Amino acid sequence: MELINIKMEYYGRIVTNEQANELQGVFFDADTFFNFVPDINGIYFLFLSQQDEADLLNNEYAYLLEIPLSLYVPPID
Amino acid sequence: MGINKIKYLGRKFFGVRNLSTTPTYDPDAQAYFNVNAAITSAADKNAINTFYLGLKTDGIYTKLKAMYLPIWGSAATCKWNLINPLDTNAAFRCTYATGMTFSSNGMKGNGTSAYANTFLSSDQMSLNSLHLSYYSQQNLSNAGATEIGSLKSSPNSYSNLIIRQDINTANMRLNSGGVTTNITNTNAIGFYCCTRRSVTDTELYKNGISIQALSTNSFAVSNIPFFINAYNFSVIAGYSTKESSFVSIGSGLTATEVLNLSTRINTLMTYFGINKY
Repeated sequence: MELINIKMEYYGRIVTNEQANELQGVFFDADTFFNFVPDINGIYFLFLSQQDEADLLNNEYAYLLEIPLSLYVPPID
Repeated sequence: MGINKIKYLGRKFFGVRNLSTTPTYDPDAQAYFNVNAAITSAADKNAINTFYLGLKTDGIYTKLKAMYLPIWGSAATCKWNLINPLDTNAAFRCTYATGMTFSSNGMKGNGTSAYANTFLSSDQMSLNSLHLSYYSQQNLSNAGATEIGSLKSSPNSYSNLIIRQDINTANMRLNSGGVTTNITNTNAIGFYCCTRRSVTDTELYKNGISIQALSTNSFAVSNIPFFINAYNFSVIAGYSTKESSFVSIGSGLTATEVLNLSTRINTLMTYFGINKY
C-alpha cells in the first residue's frame, strides 16, 4: 500500500484586504464563488483550480489571473 | 402481428414516425438525467437507474436527504442533489468555493480554500438519526482535513466525518457535544459512512464494515450547513485535499443498510471504472 503524506507547499495569489472583503463569497459563475483565505500573517490569498482560471478568463475578474503566485504558509491551528 | 408490421401500420395510418420503445427510467433517475447535461449515454443512464432502483429496493432511498455523484468534470454537472435535482439552495444542490478540481474520478479539494456548500444542516434530519458518507478515491491526508463537517457552539452541535488526517486517524461526530475519539486509519481510500441511530448509538464503517462503534450521547441539532472537504464553523477550516466520487447525507442507517449502500455504490463505481474496493 502506498501512503501519501507529503508536506505540501501551496502557492496562491496575494490580494489586498480590500479585494478580499469586496469579493469574498461573490459568485463569478453560476456555481463557484471566491473564497479568500488568510495566511499565517493575515495576508489574504486566492487559490484557483485550472478550471477556475479558465472560467475567469473571460469575465470581469480576469485581472486576478495576472497576480503572480506566492508561497502560502497556513495559519497555525 | 410482428413488431415490424405494427411499426409499418403506425407510420401508414397514424403518422407515427417511430414506435420503437424508448427506455423508461425510474422517475427520480429521469429527473436527474433531465438536469445533468453530462449524462448522455444509455449505458450511463442504465447504470445510474439501476443504482436508484437498488436504493429503493433496499429501503435506503427515503433515508437520503442528499446525495452527490461528482464525477462529471465540472461544477455545473456535479452540483446536483440526486434526491431533489433542482437548482436551488432549498434543494441542497452544491455551490463551490474556489480551488475545487473536477474530473471523471470525482471532485478534489486543494487543502487551502476549496469546499462544497450543501445548504443542508442536521436540523433537517433529527437529533438521533443522521448519517454522513464519503467515497474517497485517493490515499491522501493533510493536517486537520475534514471530509464533511458542520460545527456549532452554544449549544454545541458537532457533526463531522474525518477519514484520514495527517496523524493517520479517522473520527466521527454526529450531533455530538464533545471532542472526537480518534481511531488509527492509514488508508483513506474507500467508502466511509458514519451514522447515529439513537441517543447513544454511533458507528463508523469503511466499505460496509464497522471500524468504530461509540456510545456518544447526542447533544443538539444544528442549522449550520454541512460543507464537503472542509468544516463549517465560525471560521471555515479543515480543508481537505481528498477526492470524492460520492457523498450522502441523511437519516441514520442500520448496519445492513450501510452494507447495502456500500454494495450499491461499489457496483456503480465499478461501472464507471473508478471503484476502489
